[in-house]
Amino acid sequence: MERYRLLRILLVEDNPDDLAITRRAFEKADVASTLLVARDGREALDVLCGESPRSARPDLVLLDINLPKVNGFDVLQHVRASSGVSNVPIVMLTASARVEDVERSYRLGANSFIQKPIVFDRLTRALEIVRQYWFDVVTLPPAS
Amino acid sequence: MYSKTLSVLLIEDNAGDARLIQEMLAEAPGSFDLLWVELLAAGLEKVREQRHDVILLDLGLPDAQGLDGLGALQTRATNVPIVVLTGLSDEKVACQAVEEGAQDYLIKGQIDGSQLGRAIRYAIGRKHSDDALRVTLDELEKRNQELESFTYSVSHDLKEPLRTLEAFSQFLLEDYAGRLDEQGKDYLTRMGKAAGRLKQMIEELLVLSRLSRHPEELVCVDVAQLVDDMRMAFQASIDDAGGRIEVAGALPCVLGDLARLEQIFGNLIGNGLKFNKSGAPVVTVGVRDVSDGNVTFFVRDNGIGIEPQYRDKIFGVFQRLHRREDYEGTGAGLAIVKRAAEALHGRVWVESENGSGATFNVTLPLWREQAAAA
Repeated sequence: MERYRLLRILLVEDNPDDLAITRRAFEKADVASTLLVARDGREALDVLCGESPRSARPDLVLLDINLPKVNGFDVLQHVRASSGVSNVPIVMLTASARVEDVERSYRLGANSFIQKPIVFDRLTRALEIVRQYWFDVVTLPPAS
Repeated sequence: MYSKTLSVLLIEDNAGDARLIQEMLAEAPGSFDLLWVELLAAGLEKVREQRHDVILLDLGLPDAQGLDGLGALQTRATNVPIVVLTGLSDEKVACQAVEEGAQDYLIKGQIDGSQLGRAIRYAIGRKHSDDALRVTLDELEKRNQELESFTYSVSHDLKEPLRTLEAFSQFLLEDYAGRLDEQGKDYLTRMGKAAGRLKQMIEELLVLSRLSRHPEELVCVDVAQLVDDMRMAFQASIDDAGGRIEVAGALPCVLGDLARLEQIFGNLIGNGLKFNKSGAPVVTVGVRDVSDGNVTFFVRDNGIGIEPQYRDKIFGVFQRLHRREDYEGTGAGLAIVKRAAEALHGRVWVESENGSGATFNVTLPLWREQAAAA
């Protein structure tokens, strides 16, 4: 029988309200996960591509576009070019959902895109897309 | 009377005419400093060396016939007024020169010194006010753009806290409903709805600010096709109300862009169906008039109509004539219609008898080929 482990998720979000909203969505979605939070783009890069990674490589990154220090696009681009983490699933988060932003995200290699606020059904939809896409890489625990 | 000596550059190949001008200037009131050259090439040289108060340009030079010299001078001495000199037989060309931006024309042999002096002074004054006007217009245009981008960014930034407000009032309802009594839930529901309305209004302000700009590219838009698409879009509400959208006669193509025309016809047709208490709402779209390269469409409904005193007010942003319980919406629709029509160099107005429906008229530029055929 397959053994499931907790899904490690890196949430890169500077807005405390959105952080609370997203945390709630995870509780509602009942995804067995540990949520690691980075509050700006540089922190995210430290976690993902730092010389001494602060934790194991996450299974999924939820990455806000509008971030202090290093913006989401630059984080995305950097991660995709970094050996070891280049294939980590990344879902972009944005408030505006401007067509240009969506297109640019996919062009730079994002796996999916969610418009904020991250409420329950948006999160599950995005997780499902990522799960299908990364079926061999990420093994999600079954929904309870 | 005139304190300043005016420097005059005369470009004239005929020595006799040049001498005549010189004599006339000598007898004109005020003092003039005349520099005479025979060819356009020499004139262009002089304007590069020095700024003159006015240029007198003969339209029959050996190296520049007709309007050629005018264009060359205008590009090299943009802020110097030009008065063209011509013979009696060439008055037509002289008129053209004025249309192209010369300040005045003078017919040789028909003027005296005081008239020449006056023409020069008027030309200088007129050029000065033209330039001042252009600067003001440029400034106004710049301010307008600033205001638009301000509206856009403010609307955009306002959405962020609103999104949070909406989300948390929703969470309170979802997670804590059990701990609230009916009144508490009612208050929260009101909060959530108000946040939703505010969001809607901000969205519409964004649409308004985006569509108020002139489109970057004007294309042929087939209004018949557009109305057909609208029929599909409104199918659900048409079916619910037992209504219909009718097209009276052929609808031409207009010169515009799809986003703005969808807003124009979508809002007008939607309003006709919405503000309607007849058993079967009918909205009719047709052509009322074609003239001067423009077409005037009418969008007529059998709805509740608009009282005469509100006929201008309804085109204002967020102007509602009815209670929210009676008709939903923020009241931005007609403001969007008006701005979108104006952005396409068109206009919109309403005719209505209260209680017996409303007719909205929209004038728009015809697509070029149809304008030529009309």
